[in-house]
Amino acid sequence: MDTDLVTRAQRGDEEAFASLAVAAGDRLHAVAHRILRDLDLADDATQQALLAIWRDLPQLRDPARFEGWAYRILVRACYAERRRERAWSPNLRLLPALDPHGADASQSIVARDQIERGFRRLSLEHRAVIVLHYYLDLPLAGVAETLGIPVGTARSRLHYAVRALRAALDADARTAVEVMVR
Amino acid sequence: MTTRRDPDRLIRAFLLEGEDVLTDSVYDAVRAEIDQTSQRAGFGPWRTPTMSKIVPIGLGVAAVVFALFAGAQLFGTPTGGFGGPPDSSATPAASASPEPSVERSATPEAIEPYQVVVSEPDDPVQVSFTVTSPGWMDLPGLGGLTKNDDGLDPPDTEGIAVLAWSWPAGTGFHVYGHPCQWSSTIPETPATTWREILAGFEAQAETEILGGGGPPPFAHGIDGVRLGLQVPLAYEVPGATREEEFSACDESIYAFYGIEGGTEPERNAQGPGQIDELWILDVDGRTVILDVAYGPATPAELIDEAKALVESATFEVP
Repeated sequence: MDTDLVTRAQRGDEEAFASLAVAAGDRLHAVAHRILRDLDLADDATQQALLAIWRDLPQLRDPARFEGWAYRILVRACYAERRRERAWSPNLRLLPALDPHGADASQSIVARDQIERGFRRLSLEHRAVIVLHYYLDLPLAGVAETLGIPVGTARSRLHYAVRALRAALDADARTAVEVMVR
Repeated sequence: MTTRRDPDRLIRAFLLEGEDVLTDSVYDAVRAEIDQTSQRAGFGPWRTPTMSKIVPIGLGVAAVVFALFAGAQLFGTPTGGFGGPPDSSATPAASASPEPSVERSATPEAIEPYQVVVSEPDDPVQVSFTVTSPGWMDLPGLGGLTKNDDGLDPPDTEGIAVLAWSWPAGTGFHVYGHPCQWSSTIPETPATTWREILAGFEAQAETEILGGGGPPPFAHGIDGVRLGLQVPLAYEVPGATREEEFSACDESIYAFYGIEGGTEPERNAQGPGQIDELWILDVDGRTVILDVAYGPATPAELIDEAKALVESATFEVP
């Protein structure tokens, strides 16, 4: 991220912030969509996150840490959107598979269906850990730093989330795995 | 385990699906809103100031209603600690021509005194300070002055800030039961008087009150109390950001108090070891808090200068 843009935006330069938003917006939105699994909610969360980033930018001490700081604000915005949207539809909407290269495409779809169901059963806190770790490829320490939680908590959440997804993939699993929330 | 059942691969493939492009309508909405949205003052890095509200003495600050504190005894000496009651025998000062009375261990370069209104225009009480030493700068949007802004937070900063905040009569204050777990320790009954606010701080977990509070009256009928608060240095993590240091706290924020009906704390700490000397006052029914904020590394002479500013305060109720 261009730290000069961050610094200028910190001083109230709206054009610099607009450039910053364009540079970061797609990535933020992608993370929000993956956590929330809903395009409208992801749009709202990203919009709220960008506004919060603008509002709080002068309080960011180190411009070089903008990206992690922005993701933390985004995750909070996702939590807030989810709280506002209690009427969340439980119906699954299968997204097109981008990687159906397995020998049996139908099996792949079934597996993805299972993992989608498992993912939707996770709390947002667990989803966030999964997305930051597997989608952004952040190490556990980076996940913990981004979320503002101890590394042990990040590790625990990842453990339970992966266990839950693994259970969802188990064809014999008939009941949802209750994920402990820390 | 088959390839298909490899959870890591499946999770990564699953997460590759999804919308990656933020629509223009969201960007447009954000751009439209930032025009209407002020940035929060970065009280963490002590900010570059403007001098827009500075008014030279003699241009006529005619509507000053309350002439205030005077006398070095009112606030004690910089090395003598703080807290405890202001001295009720302090001599009232004329608001338009205050003469700094604090003896400093290192006298700063003399300048022509000037008076500065530090409150925001809509504040219920307009607070002015008289500046008699160089280097004090406005904190835009924050209602205060700062000096030696070095871009650092406590405990590293050597700078200092003097804030002057006020609230309408009847405002309820939430003095949190625990500054770190502030969101879950909001008292059931908000404090509406300085005595209740003081009681809240005295009951606040972890907050070390430097010096005792006390309820004697101020000169000219203004009641209030002064006390010092310090954020425990145990939170310090060398090299960490403020958020990291307070990561175990609610929303990574260490907060002293909030306002009834507000969703966020009104005053949060910038770092471990931060010291806030508060003057909690009742000015014609309105609550005014003068807050001298600094770190353990702030020189005593600078603290003394800041207290001199507080001593010079005058109040106007619009």
